[in-house]
Amino acid sequence: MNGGAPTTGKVDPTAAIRAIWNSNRGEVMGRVAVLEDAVLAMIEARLSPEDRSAAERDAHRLAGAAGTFGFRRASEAARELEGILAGTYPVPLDRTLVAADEVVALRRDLSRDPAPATEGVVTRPLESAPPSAAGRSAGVPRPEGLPAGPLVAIAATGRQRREQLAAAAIHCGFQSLGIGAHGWLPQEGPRPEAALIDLSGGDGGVALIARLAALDPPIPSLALTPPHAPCDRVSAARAGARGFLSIEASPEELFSAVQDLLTPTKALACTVLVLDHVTASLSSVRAALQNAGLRAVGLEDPAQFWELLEQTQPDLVILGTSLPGAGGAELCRVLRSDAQWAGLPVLLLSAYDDAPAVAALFDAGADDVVAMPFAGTYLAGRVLNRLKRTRVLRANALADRTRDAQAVDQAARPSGGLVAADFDVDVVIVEDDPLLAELLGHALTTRGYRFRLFTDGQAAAAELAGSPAALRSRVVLLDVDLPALNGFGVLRQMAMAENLAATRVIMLTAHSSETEIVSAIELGAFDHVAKPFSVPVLMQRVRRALGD
Amino acid sequence: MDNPRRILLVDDDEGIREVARTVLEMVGGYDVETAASGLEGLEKARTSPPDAIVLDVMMPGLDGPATFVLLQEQPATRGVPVIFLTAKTQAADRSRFASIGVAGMLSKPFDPMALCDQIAGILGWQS
Repeated sequence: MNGGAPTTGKVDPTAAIRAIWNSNRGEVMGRVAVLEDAVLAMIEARLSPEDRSAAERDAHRLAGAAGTFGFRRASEAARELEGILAGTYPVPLDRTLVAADEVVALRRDLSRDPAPATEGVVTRPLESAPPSAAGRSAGVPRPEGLPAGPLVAIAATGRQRREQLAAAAIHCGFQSLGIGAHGWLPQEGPRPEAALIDLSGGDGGVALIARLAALDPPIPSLALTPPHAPCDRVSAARAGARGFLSIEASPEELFSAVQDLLTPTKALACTVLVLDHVTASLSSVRAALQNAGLRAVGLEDPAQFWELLEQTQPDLVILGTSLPGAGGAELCRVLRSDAQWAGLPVLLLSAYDDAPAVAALFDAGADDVVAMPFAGTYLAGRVLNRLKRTRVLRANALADRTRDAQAVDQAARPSGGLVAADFDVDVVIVEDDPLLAELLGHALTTRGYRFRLFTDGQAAAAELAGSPAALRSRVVLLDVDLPALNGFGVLRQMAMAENLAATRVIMLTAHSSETEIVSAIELGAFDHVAKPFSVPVLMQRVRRALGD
Repeated sequence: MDNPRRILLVDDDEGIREVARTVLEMVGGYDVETAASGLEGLEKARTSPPDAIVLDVMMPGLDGPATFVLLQEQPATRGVPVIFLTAKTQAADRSRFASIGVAGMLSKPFDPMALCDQIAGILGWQS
């Protein structure tokens, strides 16, 4: 649960945000007026440097605030204005004209009602995409004013039991339809999307499951089983029951199971980004996903991958492995090294299905590998299950928020036996920025690793690239921009001395091109992490390189 | 969780402060303290060190990086993870921020409903 959360049931956060907007609107519009004056002064070529700086600050603050309140266009306009104001002074005519357009767009967008927060720049995590689903998965009471949830048929013996289940359904954001003790569905009215069927009443339950499963389209049912009394699970499963739950399960458990049943059809809200340069396989993958009700965005040119990734904010990515330039495996590695995308499920399409080839793809960080050619339903099934699992994991992660981060660190500490006697140190840091070096050193020491630091490439290469190496380390954290000899140079010397089999190198890159990163991986770098990185993420990668 | 985690939020924009405080309290269940300037933030952090600090980068007076440096100089606040709120236009600065040891960065504008997850994600409070 959201441990420690104050009562989330009563107030809708988006309504609260709207109220804050209303109380701040006057001040925000005041800033818009300042910008309008500045643009007017710009047009008349009388904008003073002081007014320009003041307007630039206002534009900056507007860009942040407008976007946060859901005014996306206004946020873009303010950012554009900020850029113009920060640029050449006096502002050239063409930029002035752009500014005039943008300031109009700014006021127009801010004059409408605030958009719901979902229109923000960052996509919401999967489990909170539909607000009602978030309430259900976390077992939080449904905030008022949300649309009614899916209709669930409830068949239970005993009126009290039926009423309990109906109340639980509403609590979890569903609508319920009581259908009596194993009764029939009404002929008219809305059709239930799922059914909960109590098996404790005898054979009637199994017969009802069979009837629901025989409908076109079938209504999926979950069977509720009594804890001690005997009941015929095998017949119920044969009749088409999609799952079993104890009748004593909590309302949250019951209805999160119902939610899972409904997920394949609800997964329509999920977006999958597919990158493959072979048109035929791209279109077959897209067709398979669309048939399963998913939104699929196809892309043939790897060069546009990052841009489209930002734009679509997909819930899952499918990559071909034989792309020109950077292959799917390399892209996957790069994704994994970026904190923003490290959690994104990645499925790789492989032309090979032999164990070493598949293992290499998993090693690159793939969540799943599908060998080509494949049946459409096979691929779609794997994607749907992966999306569902991600949803469950995220819900669990929310529930585990109470867990102490220190406990995680504790568990990650290496046990004594792991430190191999053949190595002089666990980690070598090659980094010329003293602050970052100190930070990394501290992070390693507190996790129980032994390390050595080099501040230039030549000194590092002299120690690490001999044959045999003078200093044997299990892992090297290698910065790219180094004095004397850069990181790629150090890596190349280590590769020539054939030291990369024993020592795993993690490149720390800041401005490197994809080609450089790929060539570093090809030279034998074990991994790469893009700067800026979060220290916990880097430590995770170090642990992996150490083979812990 | 008997003692909710305490977050100190430093931003000169009142709207941003209120929105972030609302969602961090309502959605994330955190205890939120706010400060309107780097100086006020420093003072509050020193008097009662929070579990994490969210610090706007561009503020008049003491800006985010300067405040961060001062926080690092105080024994009481040195170990507190700091998240920078940065504008997208400041992408070039991001690697510099990472190298001085901030725990993470959040782009402005942020989606209020995703803020808690992002903060928890950066701070590793989620498994």
